[in-house]
Amino acid sequence: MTAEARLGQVANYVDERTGAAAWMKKNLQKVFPDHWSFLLGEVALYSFIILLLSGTFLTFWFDPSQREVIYEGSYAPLEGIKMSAAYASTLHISFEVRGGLLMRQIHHWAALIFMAAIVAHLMRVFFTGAFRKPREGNWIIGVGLLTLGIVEGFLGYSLPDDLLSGTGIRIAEAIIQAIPVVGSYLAYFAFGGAFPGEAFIPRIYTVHVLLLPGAFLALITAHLMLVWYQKHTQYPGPGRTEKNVVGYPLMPVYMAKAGGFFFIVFGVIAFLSAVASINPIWLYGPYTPGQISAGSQPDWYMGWLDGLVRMAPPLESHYFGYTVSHLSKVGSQAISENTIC
Amino acid sequence: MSNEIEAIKDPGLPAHVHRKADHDPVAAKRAERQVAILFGISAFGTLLLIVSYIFIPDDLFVFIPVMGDQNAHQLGLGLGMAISLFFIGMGAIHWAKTLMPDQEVIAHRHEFRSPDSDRKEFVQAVKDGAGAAGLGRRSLIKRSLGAALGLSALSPILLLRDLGPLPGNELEKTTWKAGTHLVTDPGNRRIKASDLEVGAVAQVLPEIEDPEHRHLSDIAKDAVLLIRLRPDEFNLDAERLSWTHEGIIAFSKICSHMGCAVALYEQQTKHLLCPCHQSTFDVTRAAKVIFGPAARPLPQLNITVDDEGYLVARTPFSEPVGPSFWERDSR
Repeated sequence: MTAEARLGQVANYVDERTGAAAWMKKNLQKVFPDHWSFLLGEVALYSFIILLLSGTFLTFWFDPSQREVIYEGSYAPLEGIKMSAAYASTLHISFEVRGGLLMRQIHHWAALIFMAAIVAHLMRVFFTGAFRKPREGNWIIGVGLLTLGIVEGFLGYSLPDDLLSGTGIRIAEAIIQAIPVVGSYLAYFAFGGAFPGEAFIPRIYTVHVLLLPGAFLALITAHLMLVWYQKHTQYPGPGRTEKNVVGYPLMPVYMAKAGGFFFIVFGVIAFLSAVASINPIWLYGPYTPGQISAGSQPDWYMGWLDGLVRMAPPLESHYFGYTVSHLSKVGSQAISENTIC
Repeated sequence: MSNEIEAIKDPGLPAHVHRKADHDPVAAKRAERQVAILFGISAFGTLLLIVSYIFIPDDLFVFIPVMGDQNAHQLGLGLGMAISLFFIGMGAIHWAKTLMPDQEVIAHRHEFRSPDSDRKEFVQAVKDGAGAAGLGRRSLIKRSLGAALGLSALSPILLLRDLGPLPGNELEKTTWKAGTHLVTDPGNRRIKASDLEVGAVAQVLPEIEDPEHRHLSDIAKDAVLLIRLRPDEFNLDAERLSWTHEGIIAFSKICSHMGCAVALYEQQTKHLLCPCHQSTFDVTRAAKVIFGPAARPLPQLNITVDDEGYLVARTPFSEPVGPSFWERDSR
């Protein structure tokens, strides 16, 4: 029997049990327009899948705990140093688990590319006007995904509890503390007491691996369903009108192209991870609040927030014995600007 | 000549040009072989991954031009994986581009707007439904429902109360007390003024009974930086000058902006720089902020020496250390 005949039997099997023939026929022949800039969103989607796969791998060894341990692993420069179990297990993944370092690098590179692809994709949508009616809802979902990505990325690189990421958590704590009236209470609730405590990393771990990925999956599903249902936008050209879509059918052309493109994105990220070292946490050392390394900077997508924090004028108001840090004003400004988007 | 502009008519899709593989069986066979070769390269990548995993020891380093010394095990795993994945993708796309149909298809966009009759009935159904429930008339139900929903949101807030203790006055307090010895970090050794040369910097912590079990949350408030200048280099009022000892001045190391460790001391300019947000403090003027987003100087610790010449705190910090918070100057 030929491959075609066998696949035909599968189609028959499916329809006899679901009656999906009409729906499947329509969707397998669904037409997608072709343009390189339409791949940006795909890069984001595939990076997300890579993040799920590599992240799951990392959870098998990562110990999200701030319990203090003495390092006894194979990385000699840190031998006998006190550190959190989170940092020690990240070193274990990097040095003793074969392929662990590669997976860490893939996870971090995929996160950076995920964010970059979202930004580029949103710019493509913005400058081509593809956000207009009827696609406003999908634009809002996209901006929501960008915002979630920033939070998810920050929580992710905070988990290893190295000197750099611990400093980032310290700054987050200071921002919470600056909220008028309830700031110090919120900070104590978030950290389970005085900073840094032992509660924060286990808590953000739950948010990072469960809560936010769940929100991502829900929003991405809605995003794709809307793209599918509303049909993709296309650039103008001969034969291309407001009323049609010109391109290639899903089966087989887009299955091969999009499926192939997933492997290309994965391959490129694996290549970057093999040759370009990123976030070498063993060089930073474990977190302690009294130390820091020069040029402590967050990942690039946090840059606009870091910039706002730097630009805030060195002002503080004192009313009736209470302090209002202008940090909180910058924070509320950042939130309102983000909401307006 | 008419001034009317005539719209250019849509010329329709350009004529389809066939690829070589569409009509030449030899070209098609060649394309098929190319796809197979690409998949073959991918299989080679997987092989490289397996070989690297099993046979290359994980402490073997090789020198690679441009990249320098590289761990051969990691590099083999990574390159193997990259090749194995990348060429599956290349093969699939080459297949689609050379052998799958490349004739563009036109599909019609459906109009989202429903027929007017459906829309009218839909709006009517919504109105009828709302009317049947009495949403417009029964304002007591509406308001009590709103209040109940709002109040029910309090339960998760209440249940999250045990996330942490109340801060009390912990944020204002440090371990430093009158007479607390300054000890080195690391090392936990008491220090004398003579241990520090002019121009030197040292990080110190308060002496505690069990330095092996010092809490990070204490270090987060207790860390202090000692800097020794020549006494004539200070530009301080009499009180703050009396807080120094033989040119040694002590500041909280926790940035008054966002709590980073202010660790970069520029010996020539006598400035302290925070590497997080570039707040810059002038050591000669009691850590006055001369640049950056910090709103307050670093708190200065009043130090002196005990009978044996060891440095001690004369008093606790006179103000809370670290970043600002609401109750900061209320106590």
